[in-house]
Amino acid sequence: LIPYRFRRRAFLTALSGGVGLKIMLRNLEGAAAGMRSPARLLVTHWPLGIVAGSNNSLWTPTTGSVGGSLGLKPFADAGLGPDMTVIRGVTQLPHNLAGAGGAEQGLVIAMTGRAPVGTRVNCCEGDDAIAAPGGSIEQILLGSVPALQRPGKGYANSIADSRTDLGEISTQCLSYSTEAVDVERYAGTGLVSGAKPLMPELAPLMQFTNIFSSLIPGAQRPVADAMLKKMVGKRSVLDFAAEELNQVKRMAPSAARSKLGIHTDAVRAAETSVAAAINARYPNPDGGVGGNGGPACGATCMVRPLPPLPTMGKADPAGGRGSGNAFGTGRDVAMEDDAPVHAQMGKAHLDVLKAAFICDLIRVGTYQWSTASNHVGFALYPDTTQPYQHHPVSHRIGTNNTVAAATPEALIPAARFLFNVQLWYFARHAENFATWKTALDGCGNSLLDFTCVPFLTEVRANGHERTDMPAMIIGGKQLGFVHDRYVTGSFSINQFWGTIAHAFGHTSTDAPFAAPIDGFLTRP
Amino acid sequence: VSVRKAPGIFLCRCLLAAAVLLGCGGRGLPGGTGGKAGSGQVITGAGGVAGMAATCAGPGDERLVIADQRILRLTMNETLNTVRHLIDDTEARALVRDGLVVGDAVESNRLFPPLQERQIASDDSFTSLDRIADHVSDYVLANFASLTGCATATDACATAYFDKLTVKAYRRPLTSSERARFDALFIKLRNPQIVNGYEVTFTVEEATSFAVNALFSSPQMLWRWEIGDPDLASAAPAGIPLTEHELATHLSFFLTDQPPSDALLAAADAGTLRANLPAHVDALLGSQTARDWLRTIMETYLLINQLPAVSVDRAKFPIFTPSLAADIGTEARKFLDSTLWSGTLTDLLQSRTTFLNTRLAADIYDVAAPPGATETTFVQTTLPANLRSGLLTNAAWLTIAGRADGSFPVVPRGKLVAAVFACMPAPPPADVTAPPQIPGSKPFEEQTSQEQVAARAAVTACNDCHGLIDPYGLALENYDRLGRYRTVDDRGRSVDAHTTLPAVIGGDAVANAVDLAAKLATKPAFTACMASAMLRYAMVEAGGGTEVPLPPQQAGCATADVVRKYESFGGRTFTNLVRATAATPAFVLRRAAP
Repeated sequence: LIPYRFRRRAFLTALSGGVGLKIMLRNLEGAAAGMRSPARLLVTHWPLGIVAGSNNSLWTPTTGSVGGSLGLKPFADAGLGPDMTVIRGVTQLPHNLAGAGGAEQGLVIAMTGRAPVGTRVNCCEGDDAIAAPGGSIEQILLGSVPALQRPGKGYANSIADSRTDLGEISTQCLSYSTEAVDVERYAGTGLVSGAKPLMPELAPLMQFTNIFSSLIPGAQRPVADAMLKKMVGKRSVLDFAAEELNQVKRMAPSAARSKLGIHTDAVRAAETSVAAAINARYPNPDGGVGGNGGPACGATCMVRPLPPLPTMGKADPAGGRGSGNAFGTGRDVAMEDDAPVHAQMGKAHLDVLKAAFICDLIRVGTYQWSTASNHVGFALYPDTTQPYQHHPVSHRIGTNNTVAAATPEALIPAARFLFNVQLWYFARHAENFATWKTALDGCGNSLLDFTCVPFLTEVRANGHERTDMPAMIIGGKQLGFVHDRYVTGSFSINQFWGTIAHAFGHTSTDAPFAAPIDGFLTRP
Repeated sequence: VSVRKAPGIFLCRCLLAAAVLLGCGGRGLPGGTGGKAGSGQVITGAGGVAGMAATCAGPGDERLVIADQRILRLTMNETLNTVRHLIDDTEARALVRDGLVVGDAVESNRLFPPLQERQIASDDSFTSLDRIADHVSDYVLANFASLTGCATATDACATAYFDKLTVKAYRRPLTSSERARFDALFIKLRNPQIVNGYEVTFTVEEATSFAVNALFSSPQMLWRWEIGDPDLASAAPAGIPLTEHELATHLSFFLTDQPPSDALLAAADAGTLRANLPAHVDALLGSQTARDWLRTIMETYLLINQLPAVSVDRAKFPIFTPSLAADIGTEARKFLDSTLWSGTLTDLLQSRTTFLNTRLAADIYDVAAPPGATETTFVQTTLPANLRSGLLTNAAWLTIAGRADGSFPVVPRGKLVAAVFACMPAPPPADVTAPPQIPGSKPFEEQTSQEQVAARAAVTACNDCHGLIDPYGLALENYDRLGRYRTVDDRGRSVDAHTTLPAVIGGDAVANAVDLAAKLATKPAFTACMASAMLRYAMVEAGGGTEVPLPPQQAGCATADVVRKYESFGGRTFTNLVRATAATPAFVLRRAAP
């Protein structure tokens, strides 16, 4: 018998070249030699800061990084506490540009560590911040840390919903090239040299195509025959039916719940039977455990994921005038509850990025759930099913309303809405990255342990404050991060990035970096 | 000796004493209070005892609302119709052909009301549903292009097809969460998986087929949801209105046994269904689909659907060939079609219009074949007024009840008339420890029917039951096992069909079947019984073999409301009875359930 590893390699070698294939093959070789997984950086963002409650009662954890905090509870629920550090006290000052919007310049400064150099001409408003030359942090690191570089472009930027107020670029872009371009200024005259925005991709399918087009599909594993496919498909169907039963039970009266319980038992029994049949008829040819199997080093990359559905999140209407800055009571309703689709789009994007990291096609990326001026509609306003837009509602009230009470119930409805949306984003983020924790990369290591995922916001709260801001670092244990901590103080955005840069071996403290924050890093 | 009371059997105390000659056993009958159907389920008269439909205290009477918020599992026939509606007729037929659809989808198995099958998706019934889902799934895979209209199998085309299918299946728009979960399933199926080391990938066609499988496994499709909209709860009578889409489903299955049409769903989408319910009822009643289904329901109520399972002694009745059996079934269906949609409710009892072929004219009714009739062509005709009157003298209806050799027909026929047309079935007998003594100077089997009836009436223990059923059966003595008119019984003795109806229905003297039909047709009990039946059909739920669908003390008022509306519509037609049923609060409201 030819050892499985050699059969696999022979199959791959028989295929013609392509960057993706070469990467994949090299990765397999490395895995065979016990290669350490590469370091990766994925910068992520949530909009509109936090609702902290009075005396930070809705925010401050009592144990570890997130324990006992209502506002951070989704991370605790997802079991990510030991894999993250929560920070309170990041400041963007003294970086500031008078005339630039709070969210607009907040996001630019958060990502570049520099003050904007002006505001951009757009259709209707003069607050769209222009990033200073030099690029965003992850692009600087990509350019200066060889271990982060991959053949081809080597990075990917994604966004799940790109609606803005008035077509601003600064709120829908995390990533800026180190290359500079001339930008027409809104205030003042003429052109100004600014960092070139690397706009994120809205369509998961397009992002998939961007990343995976060079990868030639390979499948050296034994291919399921018709019977196994039938059983696997049926197991998915029964899984689905059981979940649907769980969902509908919630709205059923007690007598109906009893009937549905019997129905559920029957589905579960069938599911168990199918799973047992799979394991009995198709024992793992690798001799590993059953179920979904634990892939050997590199094996998860051996099957190219199929493209996501050709759907995407919402963008501004054509015409460049954005989605409107219709702020305030009566003008901030949404046409529909976008949350289910928004969650789905986010997951699709993160799944594409996850696959790209696993296959080691990129090591750097950015991901935004929405723009900093978020127009996603959520049916999370108290005591109504009417959906409301996140950012427009935030203008109904001041930050004082979000720190006026110690419990969500005691906050005014608009503040509760903001808190609910915060929890929604944290829950979706946590759900997704919990899967990164268990996912194995091409070398068989935890994907999350070798991936640093900064999770940032552009302002402290709805009043656009840019001091005492929250931030998180998720993952990257194997890069040296000491986690399960809640850290307070006053840290410049440059220190924050300096800390992360150190984890990638970039030790310069030249702008936009600064000396790392003490205690964050210990090489394992 | 104790008398056994078991599902499917209800025994009279006289039975043992009469050496099991009275024919009291047998299948439970529609409307039998406390009696049990062959399936072991309790059948209870929705209107209680006929003629006793309780009047309501007013339009706010809480008894007008008779069902809790609930879910009802689709019957097999409804499931089959859903397959036809969502997929196509070919697949629906294949499910029947391959034996995957049983239960009420097989006509002779159907009980009244049709929902009286097992409502719980237990292991057994789940297996049936699961096999149907698999079969449909395979069919979609094999016929992907033609069913989906996707000349090229792309994810976008497949999901567009599937999205439309889900709305039809759920009988309402999906919530965004439900839609997202289906999308997630599709994505999961379309992405490669490693299962036990094997690479598993599904094509667009395969993923679509499994998604359809999931649709046919989803509780939202398999159950009819009647939760209502609590925000619209009414105070008098207290009840929660069904949502527009629940109402569309309820109405559509009520009148057609099929999922709501696109038009009905559109009305529900627009929120105009409730406000225009009578118009939608009329529109549906104008369709052949509704007419065929409601006729089928009445066949089931009248037990005519049992005809294929009837046992007739061919040695004694050699003319009862399969062809003749089919003919009398055809005649009954044509009679019902004509009466239900062109006549009045009392025509069920009194119409002499029927449809005969040459065989029935000669062999059963002993009349000249109507012009144009052949062995295979049934032609409308009028039967002799002195001999025939509606269903009571109809060959099919007379054939369904009785022993194979035609002996002792009084009791089974009497039970049938009492249950079906008066909703006054005999109460279940109490256990006795010793058989009552039947008087008489000659063996029971040698007595005439009049003598047997008189003998039972003389014994209190017997008369408790038989006093309520024997008179009806006795009035039908002029018809033999197959419904042929006779003047002498099978022992050559003159037939005497005169009798006196039970006091509870008026105590009228009756000369024969034609007279019985005329008397019954005038009774409020008959109207109330028909209203009760229609309401039970529209509303009933039975589960587990013990659940009483509609407690009589509650349903009486609701039935009375149906009768009141029916009589107010002008024209005592079957159509108006259906309209009245759909118009009653019981139909559209549900009680809040814990």
